[in-house]
Amino acid sequence: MKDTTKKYWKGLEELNNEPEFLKQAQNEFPDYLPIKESSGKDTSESSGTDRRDFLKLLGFGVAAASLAACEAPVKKVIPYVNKPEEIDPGNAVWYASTYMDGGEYCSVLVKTREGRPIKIEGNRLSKVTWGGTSARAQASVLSLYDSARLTSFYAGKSAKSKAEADKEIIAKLNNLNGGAIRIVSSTIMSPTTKKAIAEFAAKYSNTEHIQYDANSVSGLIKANKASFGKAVVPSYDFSKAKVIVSFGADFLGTWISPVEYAAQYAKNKKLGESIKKNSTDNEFLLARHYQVETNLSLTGCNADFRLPIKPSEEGLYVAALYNEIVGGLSVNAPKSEILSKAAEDLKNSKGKSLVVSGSNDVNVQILVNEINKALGNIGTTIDLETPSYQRQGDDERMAGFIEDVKAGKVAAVIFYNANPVYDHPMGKELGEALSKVSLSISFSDRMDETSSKCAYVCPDFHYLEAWNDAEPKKGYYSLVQPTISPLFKDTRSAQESLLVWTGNNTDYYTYLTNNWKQNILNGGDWNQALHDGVYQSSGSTQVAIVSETAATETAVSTDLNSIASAIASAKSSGLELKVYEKIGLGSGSQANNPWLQELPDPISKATWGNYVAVSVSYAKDKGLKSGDVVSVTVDGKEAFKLPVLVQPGQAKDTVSIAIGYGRTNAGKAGDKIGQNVYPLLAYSNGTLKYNRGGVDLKPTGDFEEIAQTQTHQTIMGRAIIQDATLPEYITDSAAGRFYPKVTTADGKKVAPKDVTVWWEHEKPNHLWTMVIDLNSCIGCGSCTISCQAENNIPVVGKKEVINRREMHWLRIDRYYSTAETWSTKKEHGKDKYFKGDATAWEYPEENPEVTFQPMLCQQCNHAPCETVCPVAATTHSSEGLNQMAYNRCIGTRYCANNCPYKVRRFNWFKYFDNDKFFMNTSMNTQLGRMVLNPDVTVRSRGVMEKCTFCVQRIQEGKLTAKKENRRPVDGEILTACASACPTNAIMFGDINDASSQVWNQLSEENKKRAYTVLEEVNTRPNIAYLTRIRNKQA
Amino acid sequence: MQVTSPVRPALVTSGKTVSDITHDICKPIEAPPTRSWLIAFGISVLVFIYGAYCLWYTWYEGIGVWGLNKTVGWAWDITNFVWWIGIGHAGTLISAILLLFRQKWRTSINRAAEAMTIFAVMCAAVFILAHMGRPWMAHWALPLPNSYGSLWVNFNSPLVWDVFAISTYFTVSLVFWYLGLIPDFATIRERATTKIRRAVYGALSFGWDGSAKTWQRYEAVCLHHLYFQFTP
Repeated sequence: MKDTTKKYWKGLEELNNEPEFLKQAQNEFPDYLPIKESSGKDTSESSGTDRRDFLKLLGFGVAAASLAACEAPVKKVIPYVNKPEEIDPGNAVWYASTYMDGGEYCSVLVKTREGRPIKIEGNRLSKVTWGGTSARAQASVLSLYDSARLTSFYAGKSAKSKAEADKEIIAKLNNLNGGAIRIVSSTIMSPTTKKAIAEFAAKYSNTEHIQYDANSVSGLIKANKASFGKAVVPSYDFSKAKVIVSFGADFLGTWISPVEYAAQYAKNKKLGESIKKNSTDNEFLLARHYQVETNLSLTGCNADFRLPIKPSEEGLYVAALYNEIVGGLSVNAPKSEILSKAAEDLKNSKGKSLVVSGSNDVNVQILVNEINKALGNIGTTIDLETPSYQRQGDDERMAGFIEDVKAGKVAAVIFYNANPVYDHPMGKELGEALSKVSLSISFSDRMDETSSKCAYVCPDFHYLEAWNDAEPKKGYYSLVQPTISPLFKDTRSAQESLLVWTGNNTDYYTYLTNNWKQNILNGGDWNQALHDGVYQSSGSTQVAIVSETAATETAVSTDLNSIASAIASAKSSGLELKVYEKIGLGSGSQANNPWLQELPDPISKATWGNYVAVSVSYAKDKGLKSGDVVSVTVDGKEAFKLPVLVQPGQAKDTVSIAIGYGRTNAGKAGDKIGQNVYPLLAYSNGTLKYNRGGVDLKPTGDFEEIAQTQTHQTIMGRAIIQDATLPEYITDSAAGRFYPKVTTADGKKVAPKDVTVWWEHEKPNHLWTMVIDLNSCIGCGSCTISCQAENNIPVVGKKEVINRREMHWLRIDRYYSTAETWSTKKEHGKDKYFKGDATAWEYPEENPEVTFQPMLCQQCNHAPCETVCPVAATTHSSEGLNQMAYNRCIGTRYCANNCPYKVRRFNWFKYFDNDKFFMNTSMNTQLGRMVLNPDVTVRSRGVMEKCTFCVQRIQEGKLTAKKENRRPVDGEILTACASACPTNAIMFGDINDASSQVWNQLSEENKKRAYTVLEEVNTRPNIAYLTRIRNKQA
Repeated sequence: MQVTSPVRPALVTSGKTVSDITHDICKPIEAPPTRSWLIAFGISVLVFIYGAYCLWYTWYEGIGVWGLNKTVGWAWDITNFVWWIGIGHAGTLISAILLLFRQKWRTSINRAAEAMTIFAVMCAAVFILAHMGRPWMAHWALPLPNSYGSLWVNFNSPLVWDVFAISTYFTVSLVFWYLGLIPDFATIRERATTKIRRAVYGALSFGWDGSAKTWQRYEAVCLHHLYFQFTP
């Protein structure tokens, strides 16, 4: 603005130059407004809190209130006052031990954290189980923390202190006046325990020790005594057999020593380029396995040829095989092409074959022995010089014992690791008669069916808190050592109880070490043996079962013709029942272990209950479908009601029911699940019979859904399983492979991996890869339980499994083959099954081929789940892993919808601290919580989870290597599933490491066999599967 | 008084005047609620309470109370979400598409239609919140500033596109509806008898003065911006 003479003023005061104005003119803020600048000295002048102060206080007050409200929860951390030297919080301490339950055996390593065992791994130093584990061994860590366990000694229903109970028991034992004392147990493999029992027997006269097995092979033992003069179970070596014929022996699942046999069996199932090159006999590059059985067992699923038969005909088929190989038996033997072929193969592999039978009929086993003798297998695949001590039960002596109790002839009985009131067919009578026994003691760890009827219950330790030893085979020893202080100080090791009652006050640890140093170590080092967990020594100190009198032993004839006629007369007509054992619950002693209850049966994928397995043709004839409840009647009387399950592979006119269910005193999780089928076993000719005729099923009209995790049986023509036969593989290693092609815009057909819109993730360091060999996977389920234990996976219960919400990250899909092929599909045309589409492939054939495929998160490099998460809760790591950030997940479930493999799991409810999931004991009881792995988050409700390739193990392995200034070595870092597998079907490692097993498999050995599932979707998984090759003609 | 002309037919017929129309339309707002309205309202409140209980039950127990499982992660939730969005589209169709096609008869229903769209989109949004496993962290789906190392949402995800699409749709529908209401709020403001009514409707009518210039600007905004730019 130019210079102007106009004058501007703001007010009259300025115009008039009033003194007031002039005074304030220099102040930026003239003092017209009532703002009081409070100086500290003039507090008397301040008029209380004015506007700004009020706002300040208000703001502060709100902040203070909200801060107070947002208090973080107070967590108490109590440091050690005196830290135990061995325990560093955060570092695991490993102990070698042995899992034993009756005759089940598995040499294990126990991982403990902060003084509590949380995980079981196999002990690679064992020359029996070779580092493998079974599902039951993996689950045994949870049974330590079982709330149903008794915490002290009991007399009747009231607790008693150890001292008082000892006094009373010793007094009673001394007052028996020569009355019969019987110690009834399941198979005892422990030489030191037997020594303690022998001492007891020496002190108290008229003591006999009776062993019995719920899953008895008494017939085999008797037959061996007759055939070879040795009343033992031999050691079998399946790895030396090129031809295996099994008559109903489920040696991969439940027969005698499945972990051992699986490891041996797998040796002859491996294929590769170098194996092909070094082959001397192409026809038997793989073993050829024939299975002749009634119900589709785990072993039958893995067989190359399977012949379904009625159980009463088993002897006849063995006789038929005998006639083909040796000849001369006059029986009306059935004709079977498969059997003839088996005989042919056996004759060509003398000394390199193995014929076994799971029958408990002495006559059948004698015939099998003769066949093996003729084939020259004794001494090669069957070793009688190194007997197995895993089954020592004697059905005859047990039956005699029960008769004695009923007749009042037994004065005292001690039950050790035995529950005959539940698992013996005469159990009910025994339970009623136990009141006649003046002193009955049980060492059971809970008030089970037997111990609740005993006068005293003196709970034994769990194996994870006890000292003990084991001798599963002659000369092969292993040790059991405590991995945690006994949880309940008022319980006591059973052996120690026996010693105390004998008047020997040595603690069992000293007794054990003395026995070892004197009798077993033979100069070896105790500490080394304890460190290794296993020990080999010549000579056996297996103390014979006390008193082998068994005066009423049934005579066994080895006259083959009388055997043949006995076998022929066993055949019956009509519906027959075959009783079998499931791999999860076994004989039923672990019924209160929810991990095992929820483990899907490998074949039927059923959980939380047993059922009547019927054949497809029977179901069609009678109009039954899975879930229909039938009344099972035996000889006209109803035994129980049970739902039916239509089972492909079940022999015609037979039904099968599993033992191990129907318990009443197992605990909250195990009671009233399924029905008890033990009472249906028959006892004849000195052994228990696991099959019977005279069975009928009467429909009741009710429906009870069976909690299956897989209800879709076939693969509908998709190339999820790629398989071939051995001759095809010999010609071309890539036999059976399917190469999907996609058509590009210019009409060219290319492999899916050549077309992509995504950039690759960089993997500069490690690339974690898994190779799963479908030839080696037997479907046992150890991997599933191992994963559950390692990753804190909840158990959801029967109702939720029916709702298809089980939480297992790793599932084993079981596929049946179907009779429909592309060509028959065209022929069928208007078949009533066939609607002109792929529905026909939904129906498995009557005797299908079965393949197992472990399915877990494929850690896809082009993961469909990663792109669709709205909050980026699932991302890809620079080591190839698909990561899941639980704390970022808001639970939209888009990732699960997008996953083509359906391997993601959602937390539908709060599974911890929730009474509705009382069966999820590992998160709902104080005791159960001790099994949780502290390295893995317990997921909250509403969060997605999935397999992480055990990232906590990967990180731990990398850290260990880094601290030692080196790279991780292959085999050091293994996922839980890979380390549990008894057959090494799951291989895990770093494919960027050229010395790793996975690199070797995928680049050299099995490059042509390797495929990824659903390759056509182009997800680029980090898991490769190796084609299944069967040893048969096309 | 309505202005009639020989060129086109009278807008208001059957003996009513323009001021009668104004009375009739303002009556539901100014008069106390009628009996039938109260009954309908009562029933709606009951249904609402039941719906609120169901929502609370889902949020309290977990998505497990629905019939979903490990293979089927979405069923009624997404179906219903899409259905409500579809219902909402009907309102948008009436107000925007029909306007572009110069269907004058739409004006009798477009106020109700647009209101329905807004509530339909709100219903759809309820399903978004209801189906989440952890709905108390739903705000993580929005690209808000944060201190988690500054974490963005995953823009590759169709669900995030949904977030943008549905929120845009909602905002636009709200703006459509509100703009249409401004002259009507002004009418009610002029007739308001109490101080509160005057204040509320005064605020809502955004200073509408009914002048020709205002009307001209109003038409321009509606036509060019709303209908031409936002509708697509």
